[in-house]
Amino acid sequence: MDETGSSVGSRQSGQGLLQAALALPDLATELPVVLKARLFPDSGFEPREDDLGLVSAWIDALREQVENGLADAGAGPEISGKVSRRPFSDRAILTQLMARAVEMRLARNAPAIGMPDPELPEAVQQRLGSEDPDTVEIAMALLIAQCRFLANGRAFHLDLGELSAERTSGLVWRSVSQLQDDGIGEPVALRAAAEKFLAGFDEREGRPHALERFCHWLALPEARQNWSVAHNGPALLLAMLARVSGLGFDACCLLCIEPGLARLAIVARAAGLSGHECLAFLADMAELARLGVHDLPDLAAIEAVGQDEAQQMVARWRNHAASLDDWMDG
Amino acid sequence: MTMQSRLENPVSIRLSRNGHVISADQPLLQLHFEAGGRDQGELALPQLLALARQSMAMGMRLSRAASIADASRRISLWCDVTPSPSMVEILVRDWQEEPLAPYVPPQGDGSDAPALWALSGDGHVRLDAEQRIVRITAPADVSPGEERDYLLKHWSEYFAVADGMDGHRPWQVFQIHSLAFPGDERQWRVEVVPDMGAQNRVLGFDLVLSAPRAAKPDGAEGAAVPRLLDDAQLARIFGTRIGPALRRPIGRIIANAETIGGRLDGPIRAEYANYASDIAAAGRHLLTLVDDLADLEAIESSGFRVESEAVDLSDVARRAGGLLALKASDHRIRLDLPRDDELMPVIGEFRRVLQILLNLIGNAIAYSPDGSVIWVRLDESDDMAAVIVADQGPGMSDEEQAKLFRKWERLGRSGDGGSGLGLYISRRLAEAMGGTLTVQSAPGQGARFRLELPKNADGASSGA
Repeated sequence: MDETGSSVGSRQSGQGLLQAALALPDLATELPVVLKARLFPDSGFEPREDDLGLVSAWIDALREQVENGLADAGAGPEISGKVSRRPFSDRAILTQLMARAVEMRLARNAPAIGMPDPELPEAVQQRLGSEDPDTVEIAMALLIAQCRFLANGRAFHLDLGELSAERTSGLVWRSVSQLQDDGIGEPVALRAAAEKFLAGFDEREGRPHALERFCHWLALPEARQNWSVAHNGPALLLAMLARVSGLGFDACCLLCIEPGLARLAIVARAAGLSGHECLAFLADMAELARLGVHDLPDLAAIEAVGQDEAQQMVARWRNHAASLDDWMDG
Repeated sequence: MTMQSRLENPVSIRLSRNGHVISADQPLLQLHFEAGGRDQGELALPQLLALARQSMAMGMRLSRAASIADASRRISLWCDVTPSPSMVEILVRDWQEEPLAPYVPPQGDGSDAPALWALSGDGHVRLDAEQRIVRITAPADVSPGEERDYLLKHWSEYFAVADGMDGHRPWQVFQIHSLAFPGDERQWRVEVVPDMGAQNRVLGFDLVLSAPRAAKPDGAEGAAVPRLLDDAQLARIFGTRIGPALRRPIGRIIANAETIGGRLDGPIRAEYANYASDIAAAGRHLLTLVDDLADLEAIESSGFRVESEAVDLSDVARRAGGLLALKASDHRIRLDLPRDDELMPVIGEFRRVLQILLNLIGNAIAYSPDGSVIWVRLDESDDMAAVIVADQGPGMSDEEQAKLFRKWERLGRSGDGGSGLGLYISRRLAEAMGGTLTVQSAPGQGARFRLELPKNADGASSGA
């Protein structure tokens, strides 16, 4: 070390750089570990490789959209190819992507329960023939959004609008931070570009919005709701359960891959499904999720749980969940 | 029943960036005034205001459902929210109303319900079917909040629930015995009446409040009047009331500090990010303390029991090591854990064994030098099995070892995030499972903590 300490400084910087490089996760290989550790701690649950593969591909698709969006909003072409996967290493966003992957899996397997066109369930078709133009418009918006989601999914693509506004905002700002940390782009221009990009975001263009809007407009579920999965399609059915339970759409999607579907059964009972309706619903969802049906609750077990009892349990999950993340911990 | 009102034309409201009403169409303005709002004042409809603030904070257009309640109805709205640099506009596109069952004041008529209504109801809280507050008729000397910010909150977020119910299940509205208003320490007695609709469907709940019991100096009410804050009671109050009440705000502090520290909402100067990280670390320390105190309350209560289940000590040790691997790697500490094919079946409670091992390995990481090794080894005798956590830390003298497992004992250390309760709780848990927790150490020679539990003669074990 010389008296000025400069050689030490440069050596420490060099070591720091090496350590930083070593510490950087390779998300392509780390992603399954991250997802398992963050989504399902101690559950003994193993995410399926096809779900993980889809999430991984979607991360690349979203990364590109964020990059293009920022570049178009004034960040400049120098950020091209520079947004990394690091901004996706976030529990909330991975949870949301996993929920979408589960939804995609359910839709992909819909023909197994006699539903050849999961994007056009009977419940939506009926509304397309309504005399009320607003109802037709809302149903058509949902149909288009579902078609686009499934077509994109087959091509391993996901629209940024599939993420909630909160997740999109977090993702964009984390991307800007990452670019800034990597010394790419000019900070003030990056910030302005991010603000402009987000100002152009419109929640009405997203498919989750279309689902929620459809349920709200028609006040679903109805008093004598047909709870058949084939009639509603998995997405609409889960949106209705989310609305009536207050648990959130993503949380309801993730219930569909839990072993035994016990929590899904409780949510269904709380929503007012009879024992037989609930049993049929669980069997169909297990089929769509490609879960073994041997460990589903039986009719006696389902009927032993009263609606009020189930509502209290759902209220517990809801009241104790400040966010989806908290709920997933529960 | 839901009545859907199709608006001929959407209605809108414009707010300044501080949430004050600039202009509004009549139906919304009327709701604002009915909710106690003032002309040009802050919007008195909490969910709409929250939506507007969220949209402004993110600078993004939102389109979401929101609910408003007044004395007789719950109104569900679909709102498109558009922020601009000077204001935010909420456009309401559909409007659905659900009537609330009218509040029947206490009659005391000697019919089937006198036991309930005879309480005379000094106050009344109406919950909807989802247990959200839609109306409070507070006792005369209680102010439930000028801004009516309780509306449509889940009741457990607003009220503090006190004795008489299971503190671990505050969501069970049927079990409330007493509750307190924010800022008012008195415990109001509660009777709960579910409001069942014609189709035997729960439409909501009525909580009838009656005057709190006054503590008499002569103790005339005996056991009914709790004594003031002896140790056990303080612990109980902490575990059931203060702890849960603290967790949420502390959690928010941590989350917000992490958001700032992680620069998730935009670039900031590095030193400010570091300050925020310090705040998050302090918050996590507080949360640990809250958890420790809740555990302390649990293990010191007379009814404390642990489950007896088959547990593989080796598996739990690997899980604990896995959970702390990131923390260890931050200090370049290597965790030498039992091999995957090692088994050590014992009888205990899985989550409690995991809690103990997390405490032991976490301490070892905290007090070991960077770049060192922590060994986690298995051992057994005739009827006991053991896991040993050994580190290369500074070690302890005999005197320090004698004090180590005492409540609040920090051995003169501070600023490391510890509460001085972890090892005390761990030993109590080990003993509750029929085992022991001991330490061997000498200054400069690291420490070896040994957790012993009864062997499982059957040899089978289960995971979490």
